[in-house]
Amino acid sequence: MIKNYRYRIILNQFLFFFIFVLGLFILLSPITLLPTNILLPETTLLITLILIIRSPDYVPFWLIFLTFILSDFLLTKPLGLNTFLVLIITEFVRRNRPAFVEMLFLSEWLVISIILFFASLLKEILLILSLSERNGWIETLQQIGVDIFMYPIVVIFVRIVFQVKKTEKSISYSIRNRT
Amino acid sequence: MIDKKHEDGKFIKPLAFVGMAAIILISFCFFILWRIDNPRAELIRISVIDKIVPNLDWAMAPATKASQMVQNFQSYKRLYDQNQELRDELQKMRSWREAALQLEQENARLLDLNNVKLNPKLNYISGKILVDSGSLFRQSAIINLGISDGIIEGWAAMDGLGLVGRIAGVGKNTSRILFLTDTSSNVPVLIKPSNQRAILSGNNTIQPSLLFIENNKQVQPGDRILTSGDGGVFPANLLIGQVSLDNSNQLKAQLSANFSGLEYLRIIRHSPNAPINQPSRLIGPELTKANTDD
Repeated sequence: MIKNYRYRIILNQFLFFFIFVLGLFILLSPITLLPTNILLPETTLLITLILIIRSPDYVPFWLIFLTFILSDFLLTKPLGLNTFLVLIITEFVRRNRPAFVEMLFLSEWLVISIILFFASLLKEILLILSLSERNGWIETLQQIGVDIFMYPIVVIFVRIVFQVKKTEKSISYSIRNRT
Repeated sequence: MIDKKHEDGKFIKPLAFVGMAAIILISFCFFILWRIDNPRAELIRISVIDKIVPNLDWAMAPATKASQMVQNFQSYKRLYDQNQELRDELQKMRSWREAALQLEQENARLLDLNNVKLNPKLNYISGKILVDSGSLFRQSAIINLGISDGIIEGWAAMDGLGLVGRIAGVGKNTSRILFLTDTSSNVPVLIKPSNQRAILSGNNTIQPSLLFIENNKQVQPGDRILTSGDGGVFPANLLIGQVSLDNSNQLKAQLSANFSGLEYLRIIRHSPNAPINQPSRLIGPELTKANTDD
């Protein structure tokens, strides 16, 4: 039984990484080099958060680090900043997973929205403090809005692709003492 | 059974905690390094890109080809209209060609009469676009030319007609092109025929802004925008586009380069002329010690 579960974890970790690489391909492929106004949701971040609530073993911290540091490098983002913030918020969600499991979906959506908002705020503050180039408040708020709006759709996608539910048990270190 | 397994591995939790703390710290250190020593951090970035991106070419090919097929299909749908437009344009171009040939001959004659020394002809190397920036807020792309092809940071990139951007980051086999449309792109330009100088500043749209124009009144929509060569990054007289007015009466640049169909780029090999720092060397004979004693 445990062996099967281990295999399932490894398989789903590969699946998570595969979806990330696929997303990266779509973003990087030079289909058109015209500047566009179409904001895409940060799908990898949303999938990570959803999986941490439903099955945290699929997204261990080292996999999150690997994924987001790679996207920082390849997508011309401030090196390490996104990874740093994502690791903090995912760890916060991981540690409070029992509370998220008990929540209704609407409450989960609200709390995740607040977390995304504060993470973006912290990112902007760090960029301002370090005198780095920023995208502007309007663009940041638009990005948060798109992420929040897309959250339920990504939840459905994750349920279908990873076959996970909120009630799923986990052997993740953060909640081991609580289960 | 799971609990027994966990009891056996009771060190996993503190180890995982230490590992996670270390990784968070490493991420933050990356950010600090990026901020404090940006050139070095960007070198690390471009070397990572250099290792990964050329290997992605085979995987990118289907996505790129599929999108090109969709674009071609859309283009075929209005084949008849396009044909008519092309015939009209060809007719106009023939008359322009005649005019250009006459002007070229006249120009050559006048240059010869005045004994003008021309700048050496610019030569170029062509490269293929591998990937774009992948971000809505960054306008750049990676091409398959790098240090091994003799590429130097700052060289201009053109699409054959107009300026596209400049090299900003060179790896061994790849380089990043920063487009004129990026918010961090500022290029000194010359507006013809009024010879007004300005700065072309990227704004994340296909129409970059024209800022700091010496005299706005002398600039008209339709005027040609060329690189001025000021600052020594770009050679002078590279075509950028035309002046246009947006809805709020702000002067913008209508770029000549076709950004929607960019696939290959020309990188202009350019070595700036030696600066003239001592005007006395240029005018009159060099002063000898004997002359100065008098």
